[in-house]
Amino acid sequence: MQSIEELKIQMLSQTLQTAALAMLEISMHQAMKLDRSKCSRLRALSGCAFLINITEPSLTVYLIIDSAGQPRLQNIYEGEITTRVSGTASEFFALTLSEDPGKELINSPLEISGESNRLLEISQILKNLDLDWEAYLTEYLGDIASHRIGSSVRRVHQWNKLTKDSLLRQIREYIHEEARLSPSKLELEDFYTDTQKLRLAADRLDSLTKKLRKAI
Amino acid sequence: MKENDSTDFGFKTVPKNEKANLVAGIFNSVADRYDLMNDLMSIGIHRIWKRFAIELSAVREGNSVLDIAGGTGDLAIKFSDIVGSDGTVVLADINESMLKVGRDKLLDKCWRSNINFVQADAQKLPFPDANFECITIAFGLRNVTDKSAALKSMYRALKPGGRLLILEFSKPTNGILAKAYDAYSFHILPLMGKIVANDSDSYKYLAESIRMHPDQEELQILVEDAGFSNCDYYNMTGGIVAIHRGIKNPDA
Ligand SMILES: C[S@@+](CC[C@H](N)C(=O)[O-])C[C@H]1O[C@@H](n2cnc3c(N)ncnc32)[C@H](O)[C@@H]1O
Repeated sequence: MQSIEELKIQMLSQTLQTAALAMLEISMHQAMKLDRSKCSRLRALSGCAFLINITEPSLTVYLIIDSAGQPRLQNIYEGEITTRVSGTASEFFALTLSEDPGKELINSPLEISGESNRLLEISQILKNLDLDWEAYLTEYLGDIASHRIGSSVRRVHQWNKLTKDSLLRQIREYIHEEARLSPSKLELEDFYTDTQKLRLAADRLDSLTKKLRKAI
Repeated sequence: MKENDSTDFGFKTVPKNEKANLVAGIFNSVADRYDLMNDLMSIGIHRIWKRFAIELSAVREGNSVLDIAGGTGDLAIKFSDIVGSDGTVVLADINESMLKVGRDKLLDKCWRSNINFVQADAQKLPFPDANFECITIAFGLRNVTDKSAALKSMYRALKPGGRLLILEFSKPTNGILAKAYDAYSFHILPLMGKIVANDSDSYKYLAESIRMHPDQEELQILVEDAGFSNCDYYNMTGGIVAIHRGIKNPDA
């Protein structure tokens, strides 16, 4: 039978990946708001779709620049791809650390197909956004990646330790960001009061789950 | 009551012609607090499910999209950004209260003029044949009395090659998860409903209706029977939710 740990991971993988991309996308939008010059450079790339294929651990992400020049990150995309770039996580990692991503791209072992000029342009724009890419890669995408490495129990435990906090935080941040945009402020205030009341309910859920675990 | 005159309403069996009224009662009663409860009940994960459904929809700039049973408009807002000013989004729901909450919310957010609001029944969509590139129904099909009629009506309103996406609660794929989930939905959910919305019955209905809804495979058969091809589904969060997808034959 599957262990609870394995189950949790299987259950959350798609959800987690979507949440992580959503969070990163929101951060990109926020960073862009602070830097208008990037917006017009991005608008010039409107309609471009980049496929970022990390081979080891295996992870595919699409970066799409929509008609308004906003970057979007997706797990799935069926439109035409402008440029594909493929390589291991550490090769991508080197790219984010490099001062000159253009040069790094040309010299790196990353495999590129399609329009490489556009890829150079986008990597320069993104590199110059006020975002700590390195932290993102390790913390956000690394979470997903590290669980994809394998499912041996030891690794699963490691992954679990690594992600438990950041997963919850990611989801919380994402919801907070989204919720800030959606219900009215008043509702949101209610939300937090209600959440307090719900602690009680949550405690009950906790003891219920514990009982259940004992029962099975 | 004869078999084929009756249908499920949660765990109860009711005459077919009464279900719509009972469902309307539920959504009238929860409309105001619907968004809030959604966040609480799923600790916000419904937003992630919806985001993934949008990725699967492959909707693009200039497309015309129908979100039926669209309620408070979460999907419609996202689609509105994607299709841009050359596209259109129809936010449709049978329930006036839900539609009103959706419209007010969109007004608040200064929605683009590409969204239209239509009060409509999923079983008898009031749109011309072959009208949309994509139709979505999120957490709505469960409440519809005649699901096959609704699916056929969606098939008709889709353009050839267009796609249907159904986001709906489904069956957890794992026994342990299923037990915890049961405990959660039958004990915690109604309790939350009582505390937050002062309405435990509606949330009891929610839990019951989820259990009565066809599971992944059964729903896929319903979708195929309505005429769709290339049908598949994605489980999310361990099958608590599934996203079904079907394509209208490009030569139809
Ligand atoms: C749980 S809400 C989902 C709202 C929204 N799609 C979401 O995901 O947040 C279900 C919605 O289905 C609507 N509904 C129920 N029966 C319907 C029908 N026959 N035709 C259209 N909408 C219906 C209800 O009025 C309600 O707004």
